[in-house]
Amino acid sequence: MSRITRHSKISAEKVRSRSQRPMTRRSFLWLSVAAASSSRLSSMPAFAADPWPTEPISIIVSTTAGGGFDLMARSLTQPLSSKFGIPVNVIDKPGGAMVIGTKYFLGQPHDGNTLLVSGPSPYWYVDINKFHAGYKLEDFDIFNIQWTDKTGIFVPSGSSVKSFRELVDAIKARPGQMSCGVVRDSGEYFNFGIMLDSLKLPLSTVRLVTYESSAPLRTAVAGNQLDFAMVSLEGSVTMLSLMRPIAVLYGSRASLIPDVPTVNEVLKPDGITVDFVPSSMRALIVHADLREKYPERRAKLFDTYKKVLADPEYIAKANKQGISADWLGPEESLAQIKAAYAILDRYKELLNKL
Amino acid sequence: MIDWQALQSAVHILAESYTAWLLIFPGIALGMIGGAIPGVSSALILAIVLPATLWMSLLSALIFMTAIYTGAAFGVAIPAILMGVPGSPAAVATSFDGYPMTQRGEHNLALGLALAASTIGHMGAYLILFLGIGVISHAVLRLGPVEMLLLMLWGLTLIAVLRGRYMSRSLLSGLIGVLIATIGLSPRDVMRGTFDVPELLDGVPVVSAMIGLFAASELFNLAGNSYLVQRSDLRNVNVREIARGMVDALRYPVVILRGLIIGATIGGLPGVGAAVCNLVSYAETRRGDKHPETFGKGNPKGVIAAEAGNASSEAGSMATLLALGIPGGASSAVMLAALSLHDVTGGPQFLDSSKDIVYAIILNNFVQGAVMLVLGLGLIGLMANVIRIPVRVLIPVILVLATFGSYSFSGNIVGPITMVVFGFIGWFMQRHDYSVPACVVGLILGGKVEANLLQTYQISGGGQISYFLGRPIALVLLALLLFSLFSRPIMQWWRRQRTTNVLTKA
Repeated sequence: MSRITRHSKISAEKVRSRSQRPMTRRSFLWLSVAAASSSRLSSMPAFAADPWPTEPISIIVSTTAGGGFDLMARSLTQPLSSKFGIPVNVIDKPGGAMVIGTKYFLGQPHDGNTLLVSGPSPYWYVDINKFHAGYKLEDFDIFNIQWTDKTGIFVPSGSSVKSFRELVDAIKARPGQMSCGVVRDSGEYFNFGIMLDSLKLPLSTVRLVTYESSAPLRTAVAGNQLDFAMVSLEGSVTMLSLMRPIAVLYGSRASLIPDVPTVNEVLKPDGITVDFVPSSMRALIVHADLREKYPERRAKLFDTYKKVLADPEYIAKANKQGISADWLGPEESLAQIKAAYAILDRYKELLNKL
Repeated sequence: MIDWQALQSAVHILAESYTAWLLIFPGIALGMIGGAIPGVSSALILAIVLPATLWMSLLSALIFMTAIYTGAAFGVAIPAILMGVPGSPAAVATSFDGYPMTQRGEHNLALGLALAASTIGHMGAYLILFLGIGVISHAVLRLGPVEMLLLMLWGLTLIAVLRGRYMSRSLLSGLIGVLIATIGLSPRDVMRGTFDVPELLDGVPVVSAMIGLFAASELFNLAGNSYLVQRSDLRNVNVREIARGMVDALRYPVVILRGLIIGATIGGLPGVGAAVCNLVSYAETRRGDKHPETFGKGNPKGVIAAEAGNASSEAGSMATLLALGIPGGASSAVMLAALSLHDVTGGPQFLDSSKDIVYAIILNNFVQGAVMLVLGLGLIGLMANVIRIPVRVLIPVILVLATFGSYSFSGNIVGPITMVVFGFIGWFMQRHDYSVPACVVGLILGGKVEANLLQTYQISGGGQISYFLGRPIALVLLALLLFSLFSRPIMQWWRRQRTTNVLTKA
């Protein structure tokens, strides 16, 4: 047990240090990134030699239309299209826990005309390790994790449980009686298992109820069908009249509900630190071999996308729709994905029992 | 009861979106014409126009589709009255008295009766929906996975029990639909029945399968005939006579009201739909009449009862669709697909967050009723000509349209292949009296049935009885489910017992 706690402390701190950056870091990041990439911009004449892109660019989305992934992709079409001077389309290929869309993307010509918006963590982890989807992280060049969700813990608005502390007490008082809803294979699904393990409770202490997507899950909490739910916080804000947030499972509090403490804040007196993976990572991705095959195209895509994310007009528009416009860059994005995978690997045995 | 703020916002939305208004006319006309062609169901027309709704706003799409629904609800009565061939199962009871009236030379009168009954039934039922949707929206939150599971199973068994000649075959059809729906990734993350075909990873494309099942089962059937209308003299249409029939219908308010209430309640039950409403409404009117023997021989009340029943079922099935996310029949199943194309899952959340859109749909449907009255009067003469199209031209045209529809839906050849495969399955089922609608409802509800079954198991702590005992709604639904499944066999057994008793005593 001590080994696990030590590990969890380290990685939790790692994640926290990364996520504690305030939202206003974009402008600062942009400055530093612009300085770093000025050398790359000097290769601009190469663009003139290659007239690419001349054909429409497609962004494959591996979920249904209207969800967070799709919204993010669609927010990018207009600015990318006006910068490239060609149409940019979104194609939704949902299903099979993101396997269908991701495989479809890999099956397209690796020429820069097809981009992907998908969820490297935790979905690809499941695809690779559980469904043997046949692809690996190295097949992709992850430009940027643009939008990361936090896990919120919610109770029905009429619940007698008023705080996370009370929830933990209630779970311990009535083992096997409380029910918790999660979306299957989401970050919350794994965070549920990790949280119970950190609280030294067996998985059977809580009745885990799995949902296909977050909308019916939120309806079930709102209707008092579940004792509590762990669900992506961002999408739940519109339903705060029907369900009450009692904790955030993340490195920092959520700016949308600043009064709600994090799980680790509440558990600090007990000396417990709960590990977690981000709720959902939404990233813009290209084929890995684009770097060798079409270096100019890759550079052009990368720089244009980065410019869009630095554009105040885009940021304002995206934020209005609840879409984040974070810039982590390829290295930091990959590091965060690997950190999440490391956590999932560490709890593999436990999570397989979910 | 009425959310005035949402109502105000609904009026505002409607005032701003002129396309939504413009779509009423083509929608109703398309529905009426399609409904008037036997073998073309409103579900089929909706499935064909479904890809086109991708380019509309959510409200426009829903208004267009409800307009088609509205038009088709009356359209199906036209061939039922003129030729004794119902345009769809929804007009079976209409033909009972409508056709004898035609034979007596009263076809214009009968058409007028049907049009008026349809319109009043439609508007009245939407009024009930308008007043009750607030209550529904709070009541539906009380439905957990257990209740949803039982509700869906009840819907599946009801459609099997009330439709088709053989209950066992209809139940089997529904079960086959459910089994087909389990292909792909299961709610427990298990890959099933894909035979390593990557296209099946996410299951059988439901809409393409549905187009195939309906189009083929109904059109192939029709191909056996060389004509739609046998006697050309039946196509004489006199608008003044039709108008007289419309006024005549107002003389039977009780019959209309009864049909309206039956339609609004039974039409709302998942999986039952208009086909049952018109039969129940007809049966009830006949049972309550002083001269039940006059029914089936050209009694105007029979036409009115049947039409009021099937027209008001639209509002009923829209209520379950919007409030529960459950299709009440094949037509609303297509609408559910349209909703998901706009990334809206009907259900409590939709009702809660988009009440203005729901109100806008209801308000628009009052207007649709009025439009139908005018359009119906004008279009009946025109539609008689549509029925003159030879079958050998009509069938290929519709099949080509359906193929395009399924292709544009899936974006690849998987759609058309699915359509053709399910076309053969549908044709085979129809030929051997296996209920196609039951299979379609099974196919559509299958995934939800399984997900809710899993959730029921999880939430009850592995199926602990105490959980179910604490849920009265679930127990009532369970009783209804068992009743609909076993009432007929038990009644039959009881009757047989009684007959043998009487015989042995004699």
